[in-house]
Amino acid sequence: MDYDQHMMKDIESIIHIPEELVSKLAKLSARLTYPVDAEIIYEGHTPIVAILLTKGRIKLVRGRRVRKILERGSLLGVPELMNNSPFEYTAQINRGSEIIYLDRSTIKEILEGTDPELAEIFVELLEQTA
Amino acid sequence: MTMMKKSAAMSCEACPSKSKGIFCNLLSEELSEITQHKVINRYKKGQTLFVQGTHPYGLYCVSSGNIKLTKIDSAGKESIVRVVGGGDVLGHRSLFTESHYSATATAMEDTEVCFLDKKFIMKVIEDKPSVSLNIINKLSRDMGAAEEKLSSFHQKNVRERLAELFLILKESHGEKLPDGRWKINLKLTREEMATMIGTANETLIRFVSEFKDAGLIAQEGKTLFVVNEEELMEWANLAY
Repeated sequence: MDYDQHMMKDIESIIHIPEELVSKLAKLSARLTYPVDAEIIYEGHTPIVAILLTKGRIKLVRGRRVRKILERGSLLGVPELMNNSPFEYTAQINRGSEIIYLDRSTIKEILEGTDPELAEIFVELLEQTA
Repeated sequence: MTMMKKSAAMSCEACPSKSKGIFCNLLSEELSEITQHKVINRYKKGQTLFVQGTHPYGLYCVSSGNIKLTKIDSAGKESIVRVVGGGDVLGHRSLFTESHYSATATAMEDTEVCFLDKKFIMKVIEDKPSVSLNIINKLSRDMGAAEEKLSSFHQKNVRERLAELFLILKESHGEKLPDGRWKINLKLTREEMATMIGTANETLIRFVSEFKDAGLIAQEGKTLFVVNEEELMEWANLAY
């Protein structure tokens, strides 16, 4: 599969995950629904977990302006989490949105794991943003 | 291509609150494992670490600064349930249950907080008995404080509860001055104090004036001082 076609050109640390891989990731971590609007990452912070959006919307805000609206399949925060580097936006999730979270331990398991397809995506993403 | 700048996390060994934290008994090499895995962030005043009703991702260790835990009731009224500072942990209850956060955690000032994901901290707990014991100690103290608060709300009047609050703040955030007074190193608004003892703003303001007039407490700018601890114990209906 050509994953490049799913890359979001303007924010390279955020990629789109195809549907068949979303279900694989769902087996590694729980699907959660946000009951309220919330800031899940602050601009300049290292994300505490990476987020895969499976339903709803996440707004990326810098300053006071909304720079991008992420939709289903967007994976954000992986390079920043694994490199201890700052996320460039404040990520605001809408009430009712559903996510799968990937913490540092889970991403390490993916990178060292038995699913080469999943590992390849994460390795590429980390290499591209290194 | 945007270059990702990899930054080194502050070492747990150098944490200003190391001696008060749950990892205080670990050796240097054990601490270095935690340093490598943790995520460290500086929260500005008003930024939230987590929101009531959301799912916990792991354990927060407060390195410096103060964080308030607030609950919002069905009528939308916010009340402070606890204030935590350096050396305290947040999210430890959720390690052993699947429950959602029962309160919102908000930085009261610039605050440095480390985060460890649940899988990692559970492994640390399995491998290092001292960490488990320290978490049990924190949970026990939290439970004791919750029981005290519950009985205080049922059995004490507002004056007694306010006296008790000043004594609690003296214990948690007090700094003994050479003149014998205790400086409270925590800035709370009157509204926040009122929610902590379950009373109205106006009532709290009236009682604070009474406490000042009686020489139990003093105020300089926004800083509060406990002046007469012994008398406060009596007003709180506690044995000295």
